[in-house]
Amino acid sequence: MWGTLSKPQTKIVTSSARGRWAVRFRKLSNYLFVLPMMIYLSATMAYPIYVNLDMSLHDLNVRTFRSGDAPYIKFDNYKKLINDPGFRHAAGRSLTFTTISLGFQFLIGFSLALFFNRPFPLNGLLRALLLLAWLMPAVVGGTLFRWMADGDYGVFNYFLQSIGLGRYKDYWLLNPDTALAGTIIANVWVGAPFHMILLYAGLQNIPTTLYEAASIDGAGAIQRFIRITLPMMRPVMLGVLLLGFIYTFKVFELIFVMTGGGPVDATTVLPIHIYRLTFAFFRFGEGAASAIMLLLGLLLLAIGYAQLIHAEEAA
Amino acid sequence: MAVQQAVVSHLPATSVTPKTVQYRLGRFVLYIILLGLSILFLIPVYMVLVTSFKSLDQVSISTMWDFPSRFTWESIRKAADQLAPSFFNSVVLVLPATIISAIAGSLNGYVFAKWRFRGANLLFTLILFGMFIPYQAVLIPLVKFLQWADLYGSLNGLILTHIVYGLPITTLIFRNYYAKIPTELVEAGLLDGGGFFSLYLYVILPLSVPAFVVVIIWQFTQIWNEFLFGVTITSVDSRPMTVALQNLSGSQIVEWNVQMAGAFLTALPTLLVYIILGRYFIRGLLAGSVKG
Repeated sequence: MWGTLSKPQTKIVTSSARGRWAVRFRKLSNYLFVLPMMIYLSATMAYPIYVNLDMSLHDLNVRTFRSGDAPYIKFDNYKKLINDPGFRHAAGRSLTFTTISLGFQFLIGFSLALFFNRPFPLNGLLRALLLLAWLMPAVVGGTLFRWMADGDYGVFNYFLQSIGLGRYKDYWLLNPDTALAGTIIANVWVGAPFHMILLYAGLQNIPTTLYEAASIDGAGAIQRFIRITLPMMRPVMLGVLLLGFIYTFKVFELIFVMTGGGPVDATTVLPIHIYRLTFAFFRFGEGAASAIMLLLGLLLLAIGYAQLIHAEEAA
Repeated sequence: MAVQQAVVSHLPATSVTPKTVQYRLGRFVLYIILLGLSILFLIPVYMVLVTSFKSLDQVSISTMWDFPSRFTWESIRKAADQLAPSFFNSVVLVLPATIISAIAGSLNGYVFAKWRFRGANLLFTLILFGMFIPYQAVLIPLVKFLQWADLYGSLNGLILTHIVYGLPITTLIFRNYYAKIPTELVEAGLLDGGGFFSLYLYVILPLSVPAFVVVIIWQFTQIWNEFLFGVTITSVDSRPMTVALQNLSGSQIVEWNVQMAGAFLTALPTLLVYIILGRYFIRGLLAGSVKG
């Protein structure tokens, strides 16, 4: 596979007599070629974030948003948010949602990756089918699980009834105690195949000779797993966990479709909360501030991820 | 190595002890569990398919597993009627957005891989961070910009947005692909008097077909599946299929058969692309995430 962030090729060098001028000219012209791209990127990516940052420092509500004379209030939006029970609740929900989802996704994904790492009939077909869950639109996955968790027609209730636990039937997504669990299950369903594919690719890259040598030396299956698989997979596992954390923390559509953040904020994770602050409550300043906080948190993780890949390539 | 393998494969045969029997039994049970787990993962897919071809009166909790007793297109047709306009919106959206973001990504990748300049690494890293931006952080500025450009609520606005936010991944894939093209080729082209664009056109582009396949498939599925931009910056007339699916509703009771049929139809283009060109899709997935 192609390495992410692989080391660039060497520079184009010429060493003829006229070469130096040519090089200088080329260096200059390189910038000219890159310039439009930089302008474009800063206009389309950096500028919106800058505007958002600016919004987060102003007292923006419905009135001032229209009139455009929102007063500059420094970090008041941030302070307000940190003391706001709604924001804290959403941050807590996000952490719960992300860690539990990620834990299950990773464990299930890793088990399946180990399973598929062995040749058996229909291996490829089954593996390909499993990825269907991940590549469907999140809206489809959400609709699907909304139905499965439904009180009257849902599969979960059917299952309970058929094993004689019919009295525990519930409207799973309408009950504040179970709604978050419902979204987590749906998210594990969507995310575990993704983990599986990445971890499977990692497993495939471990040279089989290592296992052969270990077998000859008398290592059992468990020993081979602990002494070879785990150490060899360490960078991949770390990468998958970091990436998985970032992606899971950003999950919006699935929850939006399943519960819209309800009932009674039970599934209001941060991305949903930000969306509602802005588009439902029109507290634009606070919405912008919480988006910036989310962005910073995720960027820190992304920097960690980039470092990880650099370190891996240097090794 | 062949010798080693021969030795290894002979080992179990020569030493069948009670311990290895127990070990094999454990293995077997483990595989059965994992096989069951994979099948469990496929149940929802099966349910969507089965339910899509049922009429409403067949959708009951006791028969939900069963094949439709009467195979009917009724639900599919009903969902298709409601989703048709947004289906065409999605097609009009996904084609230009995919192609333009692929071409732009290819040019970016070419610059980053073959025309080194000061600050290239920093800029590249910044572009990559674009992949991790939570879109909530840009929504309002985006809406304001699109309003200013008179693109808000239109498909063109959504196309533009998808081109921009597709660039990080397309740039990344093309750059890593071009890094593997020998620089000597570019140097030779330079000596022959080729310039920036002629080198791209005559040297790089003809070698890019595999990367284009990966990128186009990836972008197609991502843009087709996307929802948040779609729901925020379009109007009823220009909304993509995923947004229409979310708004697909019956009268008083939820008609799950129609919902599932709609879900099936919405997922279908992505599924077809995956079924036909799956291995390229997985290549894109790996290229965009962890070093595989």
